[in-house]
Amino acid sequence: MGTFEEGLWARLVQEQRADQVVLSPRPRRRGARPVVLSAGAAVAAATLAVVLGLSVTASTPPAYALALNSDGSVTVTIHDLTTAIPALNAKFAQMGIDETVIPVQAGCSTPGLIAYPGATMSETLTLTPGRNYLAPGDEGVLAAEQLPNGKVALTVGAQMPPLPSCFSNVPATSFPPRNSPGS
Amino acid sequence: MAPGNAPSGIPHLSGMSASTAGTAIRPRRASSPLDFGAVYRDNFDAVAGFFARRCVEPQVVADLTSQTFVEAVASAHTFAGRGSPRAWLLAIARFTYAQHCAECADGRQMVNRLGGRLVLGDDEIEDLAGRIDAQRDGRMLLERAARLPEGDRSALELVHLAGLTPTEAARALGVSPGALRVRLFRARTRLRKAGTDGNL
Repeated sequence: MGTFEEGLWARLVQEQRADQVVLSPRPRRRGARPVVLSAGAAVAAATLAVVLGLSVTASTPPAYALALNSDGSVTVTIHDLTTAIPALNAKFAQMGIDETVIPVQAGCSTPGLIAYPGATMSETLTLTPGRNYLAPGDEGVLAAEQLPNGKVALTVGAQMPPLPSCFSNVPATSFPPRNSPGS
Repeated sequence: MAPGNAPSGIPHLSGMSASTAGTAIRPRRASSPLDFGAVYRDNFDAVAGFFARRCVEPQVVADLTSQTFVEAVASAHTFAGRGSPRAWLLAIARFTYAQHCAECADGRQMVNRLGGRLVLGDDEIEDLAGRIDAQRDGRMLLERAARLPEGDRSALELVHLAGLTPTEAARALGVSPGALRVRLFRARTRLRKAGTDGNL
């Protein structure tokens, strides 16, 4: 090993216990019957992912999951709307992702988020960080809505600042054509 | 951050491979549990080289390389065995660099998770300076390729500089092998037309 290589490894061992880490490949399921994956498992299976943020406690499921995909995009899943939003927005800020998660709430005075054409509410959302798909002056927004089945649905859109603290669950009017978020 | 001033002339990258990029060991495809220490040794040059092609300050290369491996340790449980460890680490490196650029643009200071900025010894600085110098050709190639679409440029770098196979590069970029080959062909053609292919 070179000098810096040795020094960094020593630090990783001392402070991160890197010498005890093992990368375990997922067992292959040859000939196995397809199974229905949970939303979280589907995210993991569909992407070569680096999980960058999990709000985890010992006894409760994570409030959200944030995974970095091999193409640079990120996949977001929210399990607990109330606790996930501040933590996820903080994580976005830490990662330099210019997106803000805003809850959809009945009775909110702000009209519903105008989503991108073709964008639908889904329980997992994948987007490419970067603002090249935003019109000048807009900020990237993810609207998160608690569904009756307990799941949280997400959609992506844009909003002129200042950003509201919530969106109404009443659909807004149609959205002028823009480039897609994935561009 | 701007790369260092590129010397004049066309870089000669004929035959540039993992070995000339400072990575003599072929990336390993995971088929059984991998010791992280072995993964570190096999891929350190590739990760450090990734940053040495972009940054000319040894301290920055050290911090970003460190950050990448710290993130890899924290995310080790998510390594699914698809693709090579190198492709996985370079995906983390790409994101680490993007995050670093965003922080620079915002005027924020990167906080290294090994406790602030690494304090480097003179021998470590000298070692890193050597690595940065060794990536001069790669840095020049990236500068010449700056006008290419990001996807074409990434394909070029992962295959010709980072030592990934086209299949691994395709997986790392989330595209099909066929699409990767198209990107490579397009990138080489454009550089050749511009006279800056460096004999790729």
